[in-house]
Amino acid sequence: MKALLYKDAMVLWKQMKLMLLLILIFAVIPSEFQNTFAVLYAALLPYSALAYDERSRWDRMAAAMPYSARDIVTEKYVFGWIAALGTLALTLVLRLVSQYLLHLGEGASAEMLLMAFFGSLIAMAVTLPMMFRFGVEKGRLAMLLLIGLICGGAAGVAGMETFAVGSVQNLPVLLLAAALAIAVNAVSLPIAVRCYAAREKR
Amino acid sequence: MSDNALELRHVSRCLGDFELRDVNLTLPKGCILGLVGENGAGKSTTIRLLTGELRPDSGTVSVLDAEPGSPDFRSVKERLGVVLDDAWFPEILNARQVGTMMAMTYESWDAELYESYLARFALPREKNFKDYSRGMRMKLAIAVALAHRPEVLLLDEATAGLDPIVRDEVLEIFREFSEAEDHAILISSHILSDLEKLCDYIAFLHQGKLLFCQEKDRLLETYGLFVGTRQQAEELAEDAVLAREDSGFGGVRAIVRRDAVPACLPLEKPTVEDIILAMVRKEQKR
Repeated sequence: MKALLYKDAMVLWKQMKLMLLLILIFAVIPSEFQNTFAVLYAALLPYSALAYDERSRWDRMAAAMPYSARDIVTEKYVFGWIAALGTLALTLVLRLVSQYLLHLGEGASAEMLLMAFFGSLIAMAVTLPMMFRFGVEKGRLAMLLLIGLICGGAAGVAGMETFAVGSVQNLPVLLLAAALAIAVNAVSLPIAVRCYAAREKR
Repeated sequence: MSDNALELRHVSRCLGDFELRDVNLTLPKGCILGLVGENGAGKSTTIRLLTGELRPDSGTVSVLDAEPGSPDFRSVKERLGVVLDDAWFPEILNARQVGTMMAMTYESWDAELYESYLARFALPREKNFKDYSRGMRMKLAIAVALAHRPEVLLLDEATAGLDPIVRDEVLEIFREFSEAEDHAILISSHILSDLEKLCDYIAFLHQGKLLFCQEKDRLLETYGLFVGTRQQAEELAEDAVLAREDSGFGGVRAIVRRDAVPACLPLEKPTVEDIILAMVRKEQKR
């Protein structure tokens, strides 16, 4: 799996510099919607990696190498989780710099960003199995659903007025979101493995 | 442990309009098997069944004593070198990054050997894969297939797109590879002269059916090339002639079975290509 993570990191680093720049800009702007969007946007990265795989027909090479269907699918989830976590950490740091050092104004709170992080994990878990079943080209419906989830999620999180900074009331909601993200991913991953294996056998 | 590197027993596989039918094929260790056939004959499908990319509808496939697709086949893939009809590495990666990735993929990856192949094939290490020519792409795929020191090579049109000098060099590499007792190669190619130079066995697929799998030397001993007049050709027994063609000025060239013509009839030695083309023509007439 290390090899596959390395591949995706190399491919996306070279190809997605613009997207990474967008994430950085969204993270710095003092806007709750833009900041949460930056974190949710990370959910798109596994799709980009899948699209590049499909374009280069990497699947055929991979089938001849010592990777199992489980390796190939799990790697995309892990890649997505790392991307979301990395974006969350980066956004948090940039928010602190933007708000307290550059005094650019308030943006999303840490709790909101955490909610966006769990949202991106859920969005990935809901849509990835469809991508593995139908491929990125045919899975446009899943992509539309993902974009809807991202935009809706960003607007929803940004509009959560009860998310006052440092409020203890946030904790149960965050815990619930975390539990939901873990549960949905735990169910989604084996389904995606089956979807991918079924596609391979055709 | 079996002495065979590969075995297909009564394998059938339907793929849309195409069907591979009841294929029986065995490749002993230490041997090279050439798979020939026209486009769409089933060569790539056979190789995809051997890599586990496809599963058979019926019959059994075995590679180094494991069934492709089974849980223990993953470790067998460590011992397989595969070159498909094109190389499909992520197009944004370069040869150095492909090497780093493969070092993480194969336990037995030999970085020095890989570097030596890159140098031997004059492949630029920092150029993106998408900017490689077809020949360079195939050379990189061959370097990757060999650098983890596999026991079995599965080569699907691996020499296509290579210039004659590099092709010869690659064939020499394959020949060196097959010298080890436990090594074996299955190679499909349209370039029959390559197969004639390289192979111990020739298998001929036609429209999804295996017409024969025979030792190359036996095949060349079985058939002879008759070159004579039309009148002489008419005298040959019908079942002795595999195929015949006019060679101009009243002359005829025919591939004939040596055991079905008089021993005194002078016959030239045909090439594998002559025999295969004659077989294709015969099948097309049916």
